[in-house]
Amino acid sequence: MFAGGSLYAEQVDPGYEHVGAGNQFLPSKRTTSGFKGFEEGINNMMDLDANTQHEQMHFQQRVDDKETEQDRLDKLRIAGNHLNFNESDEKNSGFHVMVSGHIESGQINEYDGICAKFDFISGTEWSIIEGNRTGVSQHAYKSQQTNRRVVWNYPFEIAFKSMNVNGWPQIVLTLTNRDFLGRDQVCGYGTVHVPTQPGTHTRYINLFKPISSSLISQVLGWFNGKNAEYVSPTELLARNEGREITRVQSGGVAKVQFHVTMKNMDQFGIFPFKA
Amino acid sequence: MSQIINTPQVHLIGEVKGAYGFETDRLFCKFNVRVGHNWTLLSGKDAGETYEEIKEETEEYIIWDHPFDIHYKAKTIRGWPKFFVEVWQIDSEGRYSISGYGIATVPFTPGQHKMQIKCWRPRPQGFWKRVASRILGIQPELQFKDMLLSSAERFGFEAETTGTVEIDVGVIVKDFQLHGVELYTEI
Repeated sequence: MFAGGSLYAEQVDPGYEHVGAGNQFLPSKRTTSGFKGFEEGINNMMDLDANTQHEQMHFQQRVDDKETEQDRLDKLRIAGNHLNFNESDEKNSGFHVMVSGHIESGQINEYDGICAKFDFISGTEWSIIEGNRTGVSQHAYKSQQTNRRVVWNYPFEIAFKSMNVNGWPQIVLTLTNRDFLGRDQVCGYGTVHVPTQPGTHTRYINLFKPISSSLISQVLGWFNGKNAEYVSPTELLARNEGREITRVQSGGVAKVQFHVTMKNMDQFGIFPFKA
Repeated sequence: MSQIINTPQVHLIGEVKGAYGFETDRLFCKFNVRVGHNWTLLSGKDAGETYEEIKEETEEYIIWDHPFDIHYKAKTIRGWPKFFVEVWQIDSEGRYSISGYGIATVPFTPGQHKMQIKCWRPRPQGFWKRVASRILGIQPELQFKDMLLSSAERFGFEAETTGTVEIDVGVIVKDFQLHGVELYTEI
């Protein structure tokens, strides 16, 4: 019955998005309903076949035509993003993600007098409309009661603009404290993605400390006031390569509250939440 | 009209948070995202290995917090992404052995989800093998991992339950509605 090839054939030209027998998402021309629709369904299949053959015959010509349009579209695309946009609307330059919130508190057992530094990491196509990408909080001490909690309540607010969902922003926390001689040392790192759903979210960031690779460097580090730390923490934490060769120990939990709003995502056909 | 690309796309953005319920204190996780034939990875890395985390004995939770940001293009619904995780443990002498395999399908509904993947590992067969596993730390591993991903029969295969891996994932979809696919019901 399917003379042109099965409906699930897998040799589909990747440049040819929405025609061809291998694509399940072919727009159907007729709706079939009930038993009477069976013949229509068969006819639909035959049409599918005929269409495929027709397309294949004129494939080369179509490809040439498509090339010029594709070139034009490619110029408008930035770094290979696959979003379509209204070309008539010149002012439409991306969707917006606005994030605000605060780094509320942390539970860190061994250290006291901890200062939290945050950084927002995002992909290459994300740009900041307003707000600070990085900030440093105060040094917070634990209360007199037996409580492991350290409270910062350090607010942040940032607005991003992008054409591509890749590179969704992440927040990277670096915690430092002062040892007994007053030298700054790192006592923890943590990272989490900004939530992808609009609304208010609470995130618990688990914090970790890198471990020195040998006992000697650990002892020397204690003397020098420099624990093992990462040379470029934001690079390591935000990407997921190169992590498997580091050894870490856990160092507590930080609580961060996010308020996320988005704008213009529906124009791109992107749904970040159950609408 | 110029050609508009309207193939459905899926973004998976989140972290491999951590694990709990495993018996050892030193674990790391190798994860990858498997999709069907008609899905194409557009950007991001779909495989990764977390760092090796050593937890305190009194803690319950092992934390990895390994971020991922993956972008797929879909031609069929069959082959929706699945997370496949392998948890490895390291004993006090530094030897690696398997601590669990797990697989879970990413939810369809766009939004934030917390996936909890329960893991199992092959059980040593025979009394002496079990003794060796307890004393010497020799754990059997799977040589062919295809059996995890297929729904072929597994009758006769003995597996013991280990812990749970938690993954926080945010699912963003694009253009499924243009093809008449409903991924959720609107109340």
